Amino acid sequence: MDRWIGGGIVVAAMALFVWVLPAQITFPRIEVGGGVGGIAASPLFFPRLMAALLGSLGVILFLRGHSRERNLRDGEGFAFEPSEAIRVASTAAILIAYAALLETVGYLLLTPVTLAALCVFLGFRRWFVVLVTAAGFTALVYLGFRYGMKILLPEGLLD
Amino acid sequence: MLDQLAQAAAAVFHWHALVMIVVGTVIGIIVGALPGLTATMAMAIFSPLTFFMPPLVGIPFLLGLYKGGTFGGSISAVLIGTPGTASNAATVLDGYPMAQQGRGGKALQASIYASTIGDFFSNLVLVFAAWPLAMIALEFGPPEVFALILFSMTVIASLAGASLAKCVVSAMLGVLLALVGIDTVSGASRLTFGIGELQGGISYIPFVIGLFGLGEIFVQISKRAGQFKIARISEDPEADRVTFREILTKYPRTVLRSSVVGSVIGVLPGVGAETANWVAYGMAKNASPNRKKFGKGELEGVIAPEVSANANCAASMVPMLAFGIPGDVVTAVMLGAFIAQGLQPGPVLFKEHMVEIYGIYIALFLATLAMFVVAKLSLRWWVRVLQVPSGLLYPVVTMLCLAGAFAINNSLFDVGITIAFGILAYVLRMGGFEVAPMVLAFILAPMLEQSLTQSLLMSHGNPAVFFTRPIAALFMVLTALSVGLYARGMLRDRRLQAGASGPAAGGTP
Repeated sequence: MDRWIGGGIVVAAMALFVWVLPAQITFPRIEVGGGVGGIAASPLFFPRLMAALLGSLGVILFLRGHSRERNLRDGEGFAFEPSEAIRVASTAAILIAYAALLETVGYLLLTPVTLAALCVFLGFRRWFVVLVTAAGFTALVYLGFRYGMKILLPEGLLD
Repeated sequence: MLDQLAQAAAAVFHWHALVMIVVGTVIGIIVGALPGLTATMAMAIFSPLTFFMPPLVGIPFLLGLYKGGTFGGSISAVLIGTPGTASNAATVLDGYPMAQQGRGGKALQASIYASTIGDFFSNLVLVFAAWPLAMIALEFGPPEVFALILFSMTVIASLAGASLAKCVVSAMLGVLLALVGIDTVSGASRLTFGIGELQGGISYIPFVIGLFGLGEIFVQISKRAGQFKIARISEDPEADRVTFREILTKYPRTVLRSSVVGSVIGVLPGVGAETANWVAYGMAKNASPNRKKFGKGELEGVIAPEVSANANCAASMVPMLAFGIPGDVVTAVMLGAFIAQGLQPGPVLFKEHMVEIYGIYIALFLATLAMFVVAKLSLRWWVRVLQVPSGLLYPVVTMLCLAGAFAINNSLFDVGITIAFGILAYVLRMGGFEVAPMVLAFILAPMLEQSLTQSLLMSHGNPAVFFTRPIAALFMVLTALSVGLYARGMLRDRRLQAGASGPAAGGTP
């Protein structure tokens, strides 16, 4: 697997060096003092240096992964189990949906629902405890933000 | 000076600060005791809270959190045989067997006393070492700063797990992420992809909450951990106790040695308590006449790593306060909280903010006292803390992460940043990459770039500037030595592995 990671890093580093960095750093190059000093003052110099280093490391990972897989073939690499990855991806999806809906629905309505959904999803199904925790946590954070830190959380539908 | 000291004492002895130290310590111990939740995570999640407090209330709270979190890991190490944090991993070796033998109370008391002694020693190291080092650092120009940061970044290699290359890749990603936003030298906008919120760079606290908070939660969720089997503490306190005096009189050498080891390792940038506790344990075992009992429930095997883990705490703040360079990931997160309070760690802090510095010194000792008192009074409650079901705990911590990320700038974009880096941390860790080098590199990269640019500009592009100035040259030599020693160690390990696998492979029919 290191071979694939290394290869991916090399491609990403090359894309950064050749395409992304010049496209994303459009400020005109500054010539101060000339020579290396002048190059160093350019906002492109350090990022390109880092991209080149990243690419070199990618090559090392690729070569090492290549020789290791040839010698061992022991399945070393990503520790992903499909069921584990699905569990994490589902949790992440719940959180992304929460972030996307927070402004529209509001903190007070959405947080207890999300918290309860996460508890149930992670296998905790003592309903009374879930409801008390979800309501208590939401109220505590809301009041702490509003009166302790003077931060207004999104009101959403309750506005 | 006395005037500043009096001002600092008045601020830190105010009831508000005292309460927050105790609250920080309690949260720290709870978080430290729960496997999967770390002091770094607690620091990341709760540091936004401190932005709304005066500096000498918010920072003492974080100090309590740090010290409590470092001690707290020993509770789960003793009672369930799983260290709450990496700083207490070596404590498991003798602490857990002691608990299984019905001596869990004794192991926990020893852990409290040992942590307090190490913590106190570490506070003294910080008080006496930070100021002189900061005065030296005041003389540093850009070439010295560049060489020092380069040296620190090579020491990050010590965070490498199985693969140095993966560690450096992680650090490089941190550097590239730090480039996002406005370049301080040229004013150019870099890698923002037209997103307005990225003009000021990636917000540091949401970034670390994502990596250490949400990322850790994702990893724990994927493991589907069951309920822990918790060892019981004896109901007879007389049969299962140890005294402070007993530890100091029976094990003075172990206590002193472990204190020095923990503090020295703490002062070195990049190396943290997770190394110190193993080194102290190994040294105690080698020096002890009871070395054969180590690993089977030897009290000295609990004392040594615990002294060392907490002796690392304040000492690891020395490079952060004196040079502005974090000693480990916890102080990297703490550095963000300092900056948010308007306190830029580094030598200038000792020139312009002596009241805050004295306040931090006093707060360190108060936090040690708070840790001792809270831990002593609540010893028997920790069994209940460990019984909190993960299915309830992780959702609450997750929602706390998102609330903390929102609090920094009242921004949903920051919540998105936290979720994105949480997912990235999970993917990287599953691929065998550590995220700690990424955070340290993220902090150091802007300083590294700025000092490199300034050095080359002042020398008209001549890189010899890094070798002609004595202090810069010293750090460049140390950098070369650090890389050389690391490479030699790796080659030696490889040769040993080859030697070990060779005969075994040959002997297999």
